[in-house]
Parts: sequence; C-alpha cells; structure tokens
Amino acid sequence: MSLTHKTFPQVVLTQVKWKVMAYSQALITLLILQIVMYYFNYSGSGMSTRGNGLLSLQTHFYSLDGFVISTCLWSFVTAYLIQTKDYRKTNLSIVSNRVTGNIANALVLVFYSFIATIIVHMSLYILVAFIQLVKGITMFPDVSLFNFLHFLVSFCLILLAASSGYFLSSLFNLSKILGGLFVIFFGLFLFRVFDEQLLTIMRFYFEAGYLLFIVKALITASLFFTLPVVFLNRKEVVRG
Amino acid sequence: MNISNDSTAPIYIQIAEWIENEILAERLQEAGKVYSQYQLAELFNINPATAGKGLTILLENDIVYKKRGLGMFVQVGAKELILAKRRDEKLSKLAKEIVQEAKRLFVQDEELIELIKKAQREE
Amino acid sequence: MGDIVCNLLDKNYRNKKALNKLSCSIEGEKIIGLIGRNGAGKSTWLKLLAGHLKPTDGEIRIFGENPFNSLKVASNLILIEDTMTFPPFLNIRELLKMAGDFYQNWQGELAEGLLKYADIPLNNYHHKLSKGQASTFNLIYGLATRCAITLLDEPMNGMDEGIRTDMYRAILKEYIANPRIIIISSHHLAEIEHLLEEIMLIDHGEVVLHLPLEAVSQMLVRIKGEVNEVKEMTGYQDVLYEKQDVSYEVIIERNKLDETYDKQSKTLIQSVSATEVCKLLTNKSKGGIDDVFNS
Repeated sequence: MSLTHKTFPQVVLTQVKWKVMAYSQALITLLILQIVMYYFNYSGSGMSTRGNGLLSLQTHFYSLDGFVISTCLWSFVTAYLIQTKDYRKTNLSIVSNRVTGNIANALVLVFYSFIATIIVHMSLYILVAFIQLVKGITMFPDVSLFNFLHFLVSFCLILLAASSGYFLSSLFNLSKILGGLFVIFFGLFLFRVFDEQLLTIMRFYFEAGYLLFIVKALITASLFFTLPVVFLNRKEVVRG
Repeated sequence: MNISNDSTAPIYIQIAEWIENEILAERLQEAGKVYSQYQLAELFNINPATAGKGLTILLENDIVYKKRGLGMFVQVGAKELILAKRRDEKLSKLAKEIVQEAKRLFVQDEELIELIKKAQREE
Repeated sequence: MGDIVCNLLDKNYRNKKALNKLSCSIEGEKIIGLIGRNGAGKSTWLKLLAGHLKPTDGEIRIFGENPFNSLKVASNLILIEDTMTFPPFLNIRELLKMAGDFYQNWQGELAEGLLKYADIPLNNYHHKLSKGQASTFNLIYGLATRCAITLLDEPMNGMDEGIRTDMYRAILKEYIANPRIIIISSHHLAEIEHLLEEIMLIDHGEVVLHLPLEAVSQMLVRIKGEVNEVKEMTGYQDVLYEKQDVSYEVIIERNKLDETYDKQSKTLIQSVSATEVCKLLTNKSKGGIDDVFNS
C-alpha cells in the first residue's frame, strides 16, 4: 500500500481550478443581470434640461453606479451560496480539509469579483456605444474612458460585498443563532435605528478619498475572508 | 457424536477439495503449476486470503509445494496421496457408523467382526 | 502500529451515545466487513475515520495522523455513502476529470468502462441520477480513486439485484488488481461474506468481535437433541440461544463444548454460519423473536 502525497498549495490550486469551473453558472447569472440593467440604464441615471425658448439642452448622465450596485448584490448572493453547508459538503468527495476548502472558496470569489469588475466596465462601454448608435446622442466622458482608479474602486466594492456574503454564510455555518443575530443587527441599520453609526462607518470608508478607501476595503475583505477559515476549522462537516 | 456441517464446509476447505479433484482428474499435472490464490479468488469470486488458506492446507498435507518466486506446484505422487487419504477418511467414517449402529442394535463385537468377514467372502 | 488505530473512541450526539469506548487496530491490505444492526454506530465510526466528525473522547490515528483536517488522510482515504454529493453544475464526465486531478492513482478508463456497463451516461448530472444509479456511480468513483483506505457505507443501497452482484465482483477484482484496506458496512452479511477476510461486529457503539471470517464461522456450535442429554453436554452453562419444541436446541461457544462426552449419543452438533453468529451476538434475548410470542 503506497501512499500518495499532495502539498497544501497543490490541493488549494486544484480546488480553485475546479470550483471556478463548477460555479461558473454564477457568471452567466451576472451577464443576465447586466442585460436587465441595460434596460434600466437606457435613459441614463440622471437627466437635467436647460433651455431659453429657442434652444433646449438635455443632459443625460450615464454612470457605472447602477452596474456596480447590481453586481455587488450579485457577488454577495454568490458568495453566500458558495459557502453554504450544501456546497461545502461537496468538498468531502475530493481531497480537501476545512482550511483548503475555505481558502479555495475565498480565492474563487476574489477571482469572480475581478471578472465581474471587468464585465461591469465593459457593460458601460457597450451601453455607451449602443446609445450613440441608436439614439444619436453624443457622449462626452467626464473622465478618461478607462480610469484605473475607478476600476479598482469598483473591484473593491464588489469584493467587499462578496466577502460579507461569505462571512455571513460562514456565520450561519457556525451557528444558526449567530447568523440570525447578525441579520437582525443588519436589519436595524436598514430601519435606520443606527443612522448615526452608519454615517460613521460611511465616513470611515469614503471620507479620505479613493486610495484610502481601497486600502480600508481590502483590509476589511481579507478579514471577512480569513476569520471563517479560523472559526470553521474545528467545525464538523457531515453529508447527511 | 456426529459433526455435520450441513454441507456448508468452510470455503477454504471446499477450495482445497476442488484442487484435489483437479489433480485426481489429471487436469492438474504432477509437478505442474497450481492456480495462484488470486486466480482462485477470481475463479470462485472469493477473497484471496480465503483461497490462500485452501492452498495452505494442501501445502501442509504435502500435496503441493512452493517454489520461491514461482508459486505452487503439484507434488510428485500427490494423486496417490489424495487417493490414500480419501480412502482412509471414507472407510474410517463408515467403520465408525457400523460400530455405532451395532451398539444400538446390541450386536456383540465378535458377531460384528464375523459379519464383516462374511461380507468380504461374498465380494 | 496499524494503519488504522482507534483508542477508546466516544462519540455523543447531544444526549445519545453513538460510540462507546470503541478500540480497534487494522493493519495491511484486506477487505473487512463492518456488521451491525441499524443504529449500532457503523456510519458514525466511518465518518470519524474519514475526518468528517471529531470524537467526543478518545483518539484516532490513520497512517499515524489524526484524520480531522489531515490532507495526508484526505488524499489516501475516501468514504462512499449514499448521501454523497458533488458540485451540481459539473456533469459525470467532468466529475471524472476532476477526480483525476485530485487523486494520483485515479483509474479514469476503469471508471468510464464501469459506468458504461452500468448504463450511466457521462453527460448526465449526479443529482439527476436515480437512487440506484447514484449508488452505483458513488461506488465506481470510490473504487477508481484507488485510495489506500476505501470505506464503503452500505454501498449497494437502492441498487437492483443484477447490478449488485456485478458490483461486488467489481470490488473483488479491483481489490485483487490493487490491494488496499476496504471496509464495507452492511447489515446483510450473507451478501458480502464471500468477499471478506475479516469481520468486525459492532453493537451499541462497541466492537463485539473483530476476527478472520473463518474464525467467526467456527466460533459457535448448535446442539440439538434430548433436553437432559444436551444440558449435560453443555455442562449446564449459559447459552446464547435456546429453543424447545420437538427437540431441544441450544447454541454455545465451540470451546465450551465438552468434547469428552459420550460419542455414541444421537445428539446432533452443527456449525453456525457467520451470519447467524453475528445475529446471535447482538440479540437481546436468548430465543430471538420467538420469545416475544411465547411470553
């Protein structure tokens, strides 16, 4: 009886490879979502009209916002699903332990967030090109068409959403009560019980400009990704 | 006391008997190679270890011998050995039954011996 | 040092005791039958070996390591059970390719051949297979990984009669081609007996016996005859089973039988099959179900 040997990085990489393929359905969902967003964005996210009787000028604003927000929602849900018990159980049919499984899931989400960011940016360009062709409206970009900083910021937002979905799902894995409490706590924000605190959080992230936001977002996301690896490491996973 | 197995002798004994039968029928030649435990396992759909035990019995009874790295071979004279053993077993079993029956029927020893001698003369 | 060593394993689910100070040691390639009634602790023990669960108390060592979170154990041990799941968006063909990436000894051709034989199309999805097909796939998957330790928990669940026999043969042939530790759990010993080298009988979370198959089928004897004669032969000791109708019948351990007893008696002595031994050793009463009707 000879034993086979696989190193930790080998196992993680193989898992990432197959999880990216196995959950690629999620990217198709994202594309469909983008098409829905075209419809909403068709007339622009904002409009102002000026005129002096002879001349009327309509300005439409087309921006990334709608695309990014919908993609954040998508990445949150995708992350939540990937980390649910049912999906984690499939790890029992391959070479895996709890740490490699969780790290691989996190890496897959980072990869998906990156792809999603590219899709989001492409969506805007396609929309812009489409509107110019069909409506004959002339477009003026307010910044250069591809802005790396914008790209990074939207990536961070999507990643932040993914990491919180991953974290929440892991929390539910650990204990339903803990997950439930977290949801209630989150709900209170929505019902504006903690408006002041929310404002503080917003300020913490967005006040100091793009670059600092990126740093803060990356740190938060890595925390959300690594904490579950630690607290799920002693947790039993059984098929049924 | 009769040990009756209801014809469910352990599988390894059945394997040993089957090989003996193959030798008696000369499908296995003296000094020729015997099936390996894995061949037997496949043939009879049984665990190789069980087949191995059957071969071990034959090895202990000097019906086969081991050649290092080559497997098991039929001992020269194995056929005679098996025949002798079977005769022995069968006859002593019958003899035992005769003695038991004689006891139940209150037949004296001398009377019994006389009966056997008579049977021999009539053959 | 064995390949699998368990030392005083306890496993509790809330208030229920699933394993109770279970100890055992398994070394070297062999096929072992894990026998026990429903709820005896078979599945729990297998899940502990696979590292899905961790023991409440006691210790497990597989290849010298604790299986919980061990990559060494994960690469060399697989547990097949009927609740097994796979990523839902990969079809069977892709699952086979995936397994090849994870398991160094993966037998892709064998898996495809067996699936074809079992009429399971490669472009189907695991969760769309019927219960019997899924069990067949799982078993084939487990055999093709050629893991040094292959644990099969009721592998034939839901399969129809014909394919069962074929799959038992597949297990044997794969074992011969590549010997490893295979543990097959079943509450139906007679069906797997021919495959086994050893039997491990579990009851109430404890190992009742762990012996070579031949030793189990030689362990007990049935004595049938006239009451007083039988009682005298057995020395009036405790019996595992007794029944009184036209004749009196008891089952005792072979080594407790008084061999010097009168050899002319009409009392019948029979061997007891391994299946019956396992049933008797885990029975609650001496007369089996008949006791319920007689009381």
